[in-house]
Amino acid sequence: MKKTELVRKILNILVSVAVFVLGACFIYGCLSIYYTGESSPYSLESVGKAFSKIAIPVYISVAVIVIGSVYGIIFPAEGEKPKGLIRDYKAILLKLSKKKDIESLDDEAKSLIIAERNKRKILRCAIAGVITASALIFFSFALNPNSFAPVSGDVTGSVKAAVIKTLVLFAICSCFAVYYIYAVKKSILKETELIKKAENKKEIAEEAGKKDYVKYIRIAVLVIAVAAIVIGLLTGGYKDVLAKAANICKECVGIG
Amino acid sequence: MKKFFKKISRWLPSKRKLIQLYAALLFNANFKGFVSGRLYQGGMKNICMPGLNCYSCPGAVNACPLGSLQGSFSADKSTLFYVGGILLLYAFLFGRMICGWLCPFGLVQELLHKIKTPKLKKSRVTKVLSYLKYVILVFFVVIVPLMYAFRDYPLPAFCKYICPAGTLGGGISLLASKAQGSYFPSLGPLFTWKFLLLVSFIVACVFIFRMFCRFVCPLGALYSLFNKISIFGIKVDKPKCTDCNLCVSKCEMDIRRPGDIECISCGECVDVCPTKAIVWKGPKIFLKDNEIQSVSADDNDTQKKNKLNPRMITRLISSILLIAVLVGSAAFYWFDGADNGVIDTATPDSATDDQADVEKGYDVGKLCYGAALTVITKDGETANTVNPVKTGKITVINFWGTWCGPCVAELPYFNQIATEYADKVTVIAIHSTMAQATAPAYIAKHYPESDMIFANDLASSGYYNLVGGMGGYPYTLILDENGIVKYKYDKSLHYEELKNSVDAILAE
Repeated sequence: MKKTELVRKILNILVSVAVFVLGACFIYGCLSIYYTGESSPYSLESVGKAFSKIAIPVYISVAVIVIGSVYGIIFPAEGEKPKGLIRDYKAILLKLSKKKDIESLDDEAKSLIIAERNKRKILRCAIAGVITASALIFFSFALNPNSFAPVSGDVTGSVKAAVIKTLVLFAICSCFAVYYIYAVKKSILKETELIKKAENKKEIAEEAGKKDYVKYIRIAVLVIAVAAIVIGLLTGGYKDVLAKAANICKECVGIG
Repeated sequence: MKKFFKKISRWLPSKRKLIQLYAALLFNANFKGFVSGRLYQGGMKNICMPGLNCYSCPGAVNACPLGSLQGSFSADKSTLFYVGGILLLYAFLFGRMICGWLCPFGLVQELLHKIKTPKLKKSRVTKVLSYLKYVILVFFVVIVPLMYAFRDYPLPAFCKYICPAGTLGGGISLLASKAQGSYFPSLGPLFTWKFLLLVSFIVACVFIFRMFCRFVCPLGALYSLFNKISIFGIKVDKPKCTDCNLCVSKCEMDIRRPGDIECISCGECVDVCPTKAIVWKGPKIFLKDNEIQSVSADDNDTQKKNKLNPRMITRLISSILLIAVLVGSAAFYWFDGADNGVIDTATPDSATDDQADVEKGYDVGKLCYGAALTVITKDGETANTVNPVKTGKITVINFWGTWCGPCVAELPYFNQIATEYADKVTVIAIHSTMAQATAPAYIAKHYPESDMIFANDLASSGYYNLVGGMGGYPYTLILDENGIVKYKYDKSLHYEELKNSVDAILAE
């Protein structure tokens, strides 16, 4: 077993124990307040006193949980895939590194695919140009001592102006970068689609024979729902909802 | 570049997480409430939110659907129509997709589950346990509140005895607020039970994926009944499905098939299916198929995709609008004075003129503010008024509401005091500004010949706010013959406590 794997397993067990200890501490604290024998056992003082008794195990448990979780994020288990937004971009990167051979495809598809690839080349040049220009402007500004000389003794004002200028440059570069990522993703997806279509004509399978009764049930439910809401609105039923919701429901939150 | 993307990808939230977080923030956009400890009381609370979020949470801007449903059994029939209609509409549109995408408590459970511990896998036992939520729905949400509603006692049984969202979002948030520090003496066995339950749920959710959703949540149970016919959600394209069950093994809910009653339409199974048989339901303008795999059979569609895609523009505009809505909502609730937190001391009818030297207020020892309150009887509002500081006797002021279970439960004790001490004590039961129309019928049924004086709170500023009400009912003040506040109670009272307080003032 690898060292990281062993450490992860040990940490997992420790974190589990810490979760139970944390839960047990809070349960103990709550019961120790409740069973003091007084008619109104809860107060800020009694809660503070109970917490001070369980403070050390709580802090240790929280620390173990945080350390275990951070370790699990930095060194994830094998097989854990990146999710969400980055998933698409990872697929794009893979496709960028493996350009499909298009010689065997028909001329129309080939010309469209070549157009997409040329578009991406232009985008790459454009983004490189923008970043280079921004870097030149930034360094010419940042490496010039006069850029930070206070105007009329106003140091804060001059620093503010310098920061604003830098932020503008950063904002421009960011916008370009976002557009670039978006445009490249769109282009690669289109290219993939064109290749697939040219190679293999697939038909999108539609759900055949959707049963009519589902449609009728949907219509019925929608009509009933809307009618009920309208009746409730016209007869003032919403006011009782507001009455209940706008005031503290003490029994709902366990207060009394 | 690849390594960089790989490293940071683990920290980036998925789209679903972002939507869950957005929904949680939007439904709790009254951030001022967490600071002031007061609930939002504006018009948005007429509308039920789709997920589970206690309306007693200081940040909540909508009503809880479960709490409203339970409350509607003891309210007017029209309330049941209204709440039932809203729930039906949500269920029809989204089914259990609400659980997977919009429920704040679902987000809390998923975040807890991310703590790195060994996890309990689903099994036949968990599948059987998943039917427990239907039992809880029928018993705690329908039967018990209905039975008590027949006795005119509003009892939200699920909220009171089980719901952890109320304890976490409402109870602990309120207790943590300085403004609500006076609620500590009100805590007792109920809070102890709910706190223990909350801790148990939290610990369980660390080891069991969405433990509350799968085994307990009655709202999920209700929505699940409409999963098959909902407009949005997940469905299986049966001609493409090969019954490999990769989707079932990937899913952490107790599904038999994607899109069944246990499916929360999280979409984790969509990428796993080797034949891409799992697709999203709903209009394509909102939801996309798997872009890399989908192929349009029509040349015209390809030509259209070469031009600017309206779906992409719609998404960009939608994202900007959504962020603007969230920021705008937070600003609106922050600056909106609808939480009635401002106490107006310029009363229309202030306290006795011959006590100019006595400090006025609502704390113990101060001369209470007065107001001319309209007296109500079983026949409705009368032309008479009553001023709590000008009765000339010991005055017990109780703020109540027909929609408030604890208020209704303690009224008999006040009635008893009013009867036993009729010559020395005046008991005034002031109904809140909300749902005042229900009070006369209630009085006619339960207190037709009572010695208590019933009155309506002031519609404009609210006498309740004037005398230090912090948004919770019941609330009781006991004044001596001179209108000086002797006792202030922010909790339900028993007969003995009331009697002891009155006897103590009489003994002075």
